[in-house]
Amino acid sequence: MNPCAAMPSTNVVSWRTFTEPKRLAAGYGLCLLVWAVSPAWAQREVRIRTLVETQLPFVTTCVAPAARFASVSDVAGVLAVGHRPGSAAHVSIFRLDDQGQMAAGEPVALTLPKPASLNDRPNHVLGLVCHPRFPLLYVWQDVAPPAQPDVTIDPALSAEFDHLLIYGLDETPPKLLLATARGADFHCGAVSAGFAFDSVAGRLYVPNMQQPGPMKKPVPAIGWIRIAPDGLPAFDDPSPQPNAAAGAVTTLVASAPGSLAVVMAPQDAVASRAARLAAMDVSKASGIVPVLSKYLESPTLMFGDWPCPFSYAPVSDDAVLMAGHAGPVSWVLSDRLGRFGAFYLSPYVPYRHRIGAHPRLPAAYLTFVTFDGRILRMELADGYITLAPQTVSLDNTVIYSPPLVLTKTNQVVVGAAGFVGFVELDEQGRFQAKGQRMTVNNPTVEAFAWSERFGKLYVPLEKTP
Amino acid sequence: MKLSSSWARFAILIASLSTFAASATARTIVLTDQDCEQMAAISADAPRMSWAGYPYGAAQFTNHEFVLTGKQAFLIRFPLDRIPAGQRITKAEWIVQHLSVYPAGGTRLQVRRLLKEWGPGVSHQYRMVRPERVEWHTPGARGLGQDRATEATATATIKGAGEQVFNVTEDVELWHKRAVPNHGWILTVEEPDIYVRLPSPFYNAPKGWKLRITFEPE
Repeated sequence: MNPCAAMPSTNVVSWRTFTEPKRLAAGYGLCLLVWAVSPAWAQREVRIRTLVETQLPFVTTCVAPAARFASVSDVAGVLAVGHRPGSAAHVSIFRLDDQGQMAAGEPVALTLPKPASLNDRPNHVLGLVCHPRFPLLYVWQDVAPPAQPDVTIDPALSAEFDHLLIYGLDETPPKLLLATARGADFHCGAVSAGFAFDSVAGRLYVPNMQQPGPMKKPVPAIGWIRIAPDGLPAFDDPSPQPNAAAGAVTTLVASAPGSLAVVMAPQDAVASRAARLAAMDVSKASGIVPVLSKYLESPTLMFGDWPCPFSYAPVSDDAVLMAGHAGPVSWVLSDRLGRFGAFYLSPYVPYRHRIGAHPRLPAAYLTFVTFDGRILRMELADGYITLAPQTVSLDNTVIYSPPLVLTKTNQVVVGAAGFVGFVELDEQGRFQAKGQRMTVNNPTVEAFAWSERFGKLYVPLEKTP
Repeated sequence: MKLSSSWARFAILIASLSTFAASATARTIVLTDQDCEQMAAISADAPRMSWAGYPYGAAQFTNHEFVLTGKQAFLIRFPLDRIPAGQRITKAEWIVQHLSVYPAGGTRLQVRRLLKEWGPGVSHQYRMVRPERVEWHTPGARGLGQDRATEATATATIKGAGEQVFNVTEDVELWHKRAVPNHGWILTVEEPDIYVRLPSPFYNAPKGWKLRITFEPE
C-alpha cells in the first residue's frame, strides 16, 4: 500500500511536500539547529559575522600617513600623531578648532632630536601621550636595533640619547621643554613598547628600562617615571656633591611619592615648570645631572627581554596590566606574594597582545594585533585577572590597534584593515553580538584617539578618500 | 517505480522521527570549560590571586598550566541550563586531564562540591570581592561543611599523564533538581608532598575540561 494514497493531494502543504527528500533534509537540519541553539548558554564566546557599515557622526578623520600612535590634548586643542619608522616626520601636530574639527592649514611636523653619535641609526616614536590637564605632549623614542641578533648598541654611543621628550603644546610649533631619560637605565634599540599615564598623571609608565642583573649584565625592567604636579618629571636628590651650588638641587627634588598626583592650577604649573627648568639648567652647568625619579622592577621570567612590555593599562594606583609575550600580565604593587600574574592565551602568538582598560568598570580588553579579529574582555578584581575571559570574534577581520573603550557610546573600538570596528557593550562592559564598522582610507588602522572634550574619535588616514 | 519512491520517503520520515524520538528519551551533552565563566586556580602562596595556577619564580605566577599540591586547588562551575526541565540525570562524568603526577606511583585526586557562592576576585583568601568582599570560612575553601562538602563526591588515584573520569551523577542531579545550589566543584590533593600538573583551558587544552551528562525524561 502506498502510504501517500490516503493523504489529500490537493493541499498546498501536502504529505508529499513534507516527504520530498530535499525539504525533508532542510527541515531536519532546521530542527537540529533549533535543538542545538535554543538554551540560553553563557556567552563566553560571541561571534559577529558582519559589522554593519555605518557613518558614525562622532568619527573625525585626518590625513596622517603611516600613523602608529595618536593622542588628543583637550586642553590645548591638539591631535598628535606618531608615525611609523621611515616616515618623513616623527610626529604630526594637528590643531583643532572650537568644535573639535581639524583647523585649516597643514599639520606641524616634528623631527625628534638625537645625538650625532647615532647618526647612522634612524630614530622612531615608540609612544606618545598628552597630559590630561596641561598642554604637554610626552613622546618616547628609540633608535633602530642592530641588524644582527644578540648585538647591542654600544652604550657609549647612546649615552646622550634622550628617550623622553616633553613638548609644550601652547606654542606653534610646539616647543621642546625637556629631553630626558638617557643613559644606562634605558635600553636602546627597541621597536615596540608600552607608554601610558595613570589616571591622575602622577606616573608615566615607560618601556624598556633596565637595571643591573645578578651577573652585572643589564636585565629588562618595567615601571614608571614619577611626574610632578606641574607635569614635568620629578627628580630624586642625587648624592651630595660637595661643590654643588647650594639650593640648585633641592628645587628639583620632588616631594614624597604620595603627593605627586596633587592637582596644580594651570598658571601655577606654568610658573613651576619655568622655575624647575631654569634650576635644571643651573644644576647642569654646575655639573650635577638630575636623576629621574622612577620606580622599576625586573620580573625577568615574564619580561626576560626587550621590548617590554608591549602595553601598559593602568587600572588603579595599585595595579597595572601589561602585555607580555604570551598574554596579559597583572602587576599588583601591594601584593608581595602574587605580585605578577601572567595569563597565557592560546594560540601562542608572542608579542601580539595589546591591552586597554575600561575607564570606569573593573574590566580590560585585549587584541591580538596583526593576527585575527578576536577581542578579549577580562574581568578584574583588586587588579588581578579573575574568572574566565569573554571573547568576541569578528569574522574576516585582522585587528591592528589596541582596544579602546568609548564610554560615551558604550563600545569597544578597534582598528582593522581599511575600517574601524565598534563592538557594542552591555552595562557590565561585556560584548554583545552586534557592532558597526566605518570604512576609512587606511589599510592598517593602528591608531586613533578619543577626545572627551569634543566627544570625537580621531582616525588617521593614509590619504583623502 | 512511483511506489518505491513513496516507500523511500516514508522510510526517511520514519528514520527522522525515530532519531528525534530517541533523543527525546535519552540525551547526552558535553559541557566544556568554554561554557564556564567561573573557574579559578587558587594558591596559599598567592592568597589574593584568582589565577595562581603555576608558581613561576619569586611572586610570579602563570596559568599556562595548573599545579595541585597541598596549597593549591582548582575551582570550576559548569552551568547546567542546557539540561531541560523535567529530565532525570542518568549519568554525569567529569573528565579531568592530567599531565604528570608526583610521586610516580600514584596520587589521590579529590572532587568535592562547593557549598558557598563564589565569584569575581575568588582566591585562596576570598570567595569573592564583588559585590562585597567575603572570605572563605577557612582559607582555600577548606572549611568542611562550610566551604565544601563534608563528603568527597569522588576520589581517584591517578598516575602519569592521561585523563580521569569522575562519576559526579549525584551532584549534577542534586543541582539540576535544585535540591542544593550549583556552586561547582573544588579539585584538590589532600596529602602532603604530592604534585599534579593539569592543563590550562586557556593555553594548552582549550575545551579540555569536560562534563558529560546523560539525561532522560522523568
